[in-house]
Amino acid sequence: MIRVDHVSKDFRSDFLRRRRTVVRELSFEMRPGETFALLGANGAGKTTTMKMILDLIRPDTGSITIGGIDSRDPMARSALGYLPEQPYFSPHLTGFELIRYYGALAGVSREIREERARNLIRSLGLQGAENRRIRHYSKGMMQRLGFAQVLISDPSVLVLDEPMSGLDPVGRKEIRDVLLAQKEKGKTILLSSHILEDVERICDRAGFLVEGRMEEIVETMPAPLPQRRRDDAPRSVPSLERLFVEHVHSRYKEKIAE
Amino acid sequence: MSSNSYASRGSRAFHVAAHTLLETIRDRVFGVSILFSAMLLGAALVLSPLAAGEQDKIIMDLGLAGISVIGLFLALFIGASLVFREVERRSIYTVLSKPIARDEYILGKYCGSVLTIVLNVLMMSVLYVLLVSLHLETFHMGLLSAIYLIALELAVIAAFSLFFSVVSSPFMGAFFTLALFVAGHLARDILHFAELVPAESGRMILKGITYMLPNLEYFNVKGMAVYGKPIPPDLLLFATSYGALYIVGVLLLTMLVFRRKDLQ
Ligand SMILES: Nc1ncnc2c1ncn2[C@@H]1O[C@H](COP(=O)(O)OP(=O)(O)OP(=O)(O)O)[C@@H](O)[C@H]1O
Ligand SMILES: [Mg+2]
Repeated sequence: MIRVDHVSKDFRSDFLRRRRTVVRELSFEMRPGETFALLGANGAGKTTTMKMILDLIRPDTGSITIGGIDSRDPMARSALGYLPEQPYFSPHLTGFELIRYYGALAGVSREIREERARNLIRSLGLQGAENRRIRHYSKGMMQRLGFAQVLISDPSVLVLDEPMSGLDPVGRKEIRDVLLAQKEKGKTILLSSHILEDVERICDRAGFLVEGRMEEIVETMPAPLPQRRRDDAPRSVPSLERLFVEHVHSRYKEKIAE
Repeated sequence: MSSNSYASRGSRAFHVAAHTLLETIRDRVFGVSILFSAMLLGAALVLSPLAAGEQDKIIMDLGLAGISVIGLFLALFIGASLVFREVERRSIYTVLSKPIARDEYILGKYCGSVLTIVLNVLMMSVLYVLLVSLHLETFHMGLLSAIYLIALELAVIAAFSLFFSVVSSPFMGAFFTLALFVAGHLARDILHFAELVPAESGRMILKGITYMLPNLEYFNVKGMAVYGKPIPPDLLLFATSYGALYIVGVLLLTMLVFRRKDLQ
């Protein structure tokens, strides 16, 4: 569904114009209907990778396709929804106007747009705020609005950058339920997160990014934490946290030791 | 891949334009510009009893200049902040994550800003025409031609303003646009001045830059209009094609730059 093929990206930092490689020779492929997590320390290149999938940033080398279409073609995004890190929207519109605007951009017909917008406002817990200007929205409401903007086109591929951040525990659970419902519907979901517990519950596979390289892909998720605790038998699958420390943290320690 | 019916290219640019218009008219700046024009009108009303003969020409001229300057102020602000602000606020990420090409986005932003400016000019013009026809009783069609050319000039400036917004920051963008406005009106004087530059290379560079800039005096018929002289149709036709050429050229350049931009 999403295919990232030997992608590299350098950024030039402003002073001295020194080049820094942020993503190097990255390759991975997402199967239709799977939920894949990009994990890695701060600055590992998760956001950059997602932005390259969306064609917001152009890779220096390599190629990316979505549903077989080159990511540089806008049609590759015709069935895609993207939630950026800490989404932000025009403060002068109301939530309802904004959701409809994104629906129009995605090419959703007027009637479907209206109906879906209403449903999303309800299911994402934005009712009562939909006719208020966005500048009065809290961080968590902004995140929910971000979700509404993703789901308005009923996309088959979802790219979500830290979808749980900025939410209170209830909000986190609500969004997790929304994600699980999307998964149930057979959507292909790529997400990044620092909340490993959520990843264990939602995702089918996870990839560890270390300094822009895919260090390891975890093919089988460990059982979610609550079940694991009940289990007396020794764990056959290590927890993501242990793997994270193993792959991500130890690599950094090696670097520091050097 | 999905059940959505895909809107045509034009319609996506249209939605961006409509959204831009809605966003900017709700911005404080739009309200301020309307307030300014109302104040200008008020001042004209206060001054007009003193006006006799030549003086109502002065008021007519000041009114046109007011429309132009307030429009410029709006064009500067909207243009400079238009794209840059969306990048800064990161709202551009979600917009461009929809199946919209970057060119369509630029086209939509430009049309939205021109719509806002035209709306502003229209509102001021209604006040102006009311003042001139009811109070001074000196209205004639030449004034409408002058207003049309002011709007056209503002549309040219908005294109440059959008370009600067894509390649630099809002502050620098506004600065460059203002510089362009001044230089565009003084193009002829700059050419005269260039002749005085002793160094051959300096003269060539200065002339080269001046020839690239639009000569904004082509859009200025205020003097003729105020004195009731008819505005020749070929002049209007020429200015229209001249402006359209600049708009298309600058928009294409903006698209070319924006296509390659990494939105970090
Ligand atoms: N515009 C930029 N210019 C230069 N370097 C950048 C730019 N944006 C990001 N970087 C660098 O690229 C690296 C990867 O950043 P990225 O945002 O992709 O990381 P991330 O994995 O999403 O991190 P986080 O978990 O903090 O969100 C970082 O080291 C960052 O400093
Ligand atoms: Mg990130």
